[in-house]
Amino acid sequence: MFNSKSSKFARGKSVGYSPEYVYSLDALTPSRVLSSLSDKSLRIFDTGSGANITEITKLSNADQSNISGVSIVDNNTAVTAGVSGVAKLWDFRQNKPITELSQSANSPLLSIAFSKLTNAVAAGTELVGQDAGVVIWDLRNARKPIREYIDSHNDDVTCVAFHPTTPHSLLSGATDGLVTRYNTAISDEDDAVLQVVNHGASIHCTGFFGNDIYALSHMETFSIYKPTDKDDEEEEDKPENKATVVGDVREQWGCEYVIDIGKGYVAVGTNSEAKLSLIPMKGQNVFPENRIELPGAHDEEVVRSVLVDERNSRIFTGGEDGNVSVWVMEDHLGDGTGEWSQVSNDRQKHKKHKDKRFKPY
Amino acid sequence: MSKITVAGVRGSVKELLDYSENTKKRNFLETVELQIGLKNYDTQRDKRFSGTVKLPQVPRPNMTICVFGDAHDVDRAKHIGVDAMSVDDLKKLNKNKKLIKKLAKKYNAFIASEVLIKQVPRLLGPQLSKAGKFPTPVSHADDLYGKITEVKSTIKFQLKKVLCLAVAVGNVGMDEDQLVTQIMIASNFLVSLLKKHWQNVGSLVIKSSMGPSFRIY
Repeated sequence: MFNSKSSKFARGKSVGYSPEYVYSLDALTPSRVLSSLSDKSLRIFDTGSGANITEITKLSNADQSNISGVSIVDNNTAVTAGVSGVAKLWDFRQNKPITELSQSANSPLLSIAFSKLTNAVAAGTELVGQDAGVVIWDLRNARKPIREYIDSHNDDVTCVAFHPTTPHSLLSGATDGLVTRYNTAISDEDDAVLQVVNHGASIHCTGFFGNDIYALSHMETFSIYKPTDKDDEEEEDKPENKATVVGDVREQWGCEYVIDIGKGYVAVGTNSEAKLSLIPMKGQNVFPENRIELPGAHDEEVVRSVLVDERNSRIFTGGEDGNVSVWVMEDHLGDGTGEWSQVSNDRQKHKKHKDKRFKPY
Repeated sequence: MSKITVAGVRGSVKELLDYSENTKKRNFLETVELQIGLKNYDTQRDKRFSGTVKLPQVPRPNMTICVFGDAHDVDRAKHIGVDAMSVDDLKKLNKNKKLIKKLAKKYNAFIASEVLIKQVPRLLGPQLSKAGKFPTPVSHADDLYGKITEVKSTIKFQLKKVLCLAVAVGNVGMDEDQLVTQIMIASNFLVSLLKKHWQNVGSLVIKSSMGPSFRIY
């Protein structure tokens, strides 16, 4: 996160698509941001390295119904999850989907994640009949899913996340309040499920902190759980295996809702006061007193996505007011071009970091 | 600020109880339900929400619970008159899907000690998750009776594709004060989850199982 404690940010340029909602923002490269909107389109913005932002590509009707999730694969490709039940692998050099990832049940997809380690794409499905679960494809042969785990949830799967360094380790979180950890190398669901955590409230997002598992609910309760082994028959309650229950974060973190838990920060909003801020996070500790405020936010609308470009000291935000905004650190506003050219030389290095950034949607 | 007042809700609760107790008394304990109509909410685009809140009283006292635990927990459960199963009992099910489904059907909710809960996926497979009844953890330090009451008195709001939802908040066996408190807590909690708070609420209605409905907002 930005090292300067007193860093102040000011709004740069905004592009507006009201009355549509801006759902997501993800960085393809530091200067190209991919966004999904409620008009079913995908858009790519050229962001240079300053306070500017320009739409360079618009892909209409990217999904028949709605795009529920985007995950970046590499600089030119990304996968999207659609409520229509189809996930697509997009190549932005050709600006079209190169593969459609379909599934037998055709259930609406609500979330998506990509793992570089195994070239796997996992998507969470809506509850259809009795089944809600996770579908996994191998991108090298994506016509048919390699795994379909449909017995471990009884409601919409709102979030899926791969472990950043352990291959085949996947989490899914659902509206039934459960977070399930799988070993996706195993095809039989009974054996693939390693751990089930009952968070007690509908899961908004879940992911890994090292090997620990965090879960944030739609009622803004937050906990961190230890990984457990289901074959461990130890009868003792080990204190180090205790979950850290943070509880309702709204008061503790001074917000009305949490937007995203990213690498090194938590983005939170208070839409009734048009406030948006980033709370720095180190390890598993958050520092609400060191928050970075983005004044005015997206008026009184909910902010849906926050993307941090640490290298260029910028923050991108997208919200339900239909705007995509750039926020720039104030000291950088008046800077000459000297520094930016230096930045472009370092882009290669930076990309690596960006791709690793955890995105729950 | 809350847009419903205790006095207003009390009036409706009085009428509701009067109908169920005097006008048409039924042969079973009627449940009191809170029905909510939302507005200015787009289920396609806005985030769907869901939340659980613990009420001071148990809305449905007939809920059945089963405890999974070690010898200590089984003893504790028996002591307070709640069904319990040990690891060996669970092993006896032998991962038989039919038996596990039957078990899931038999109870409304499960509670498991923290040691045992991590073995539940291995012992029972995903069937409990599938039924929406994965156990709530309880530790030896927790008061088991308290935990059971907590599970029983927790209600869940969940918005699906339509703009209305309903949840059981009590029963006609409760007195007026209790019902008013239950309704106030449930309504205010729900509103705290909405992005525009009271501006998203179209109507609030309370209704007993067989009685007429009373609009409180």
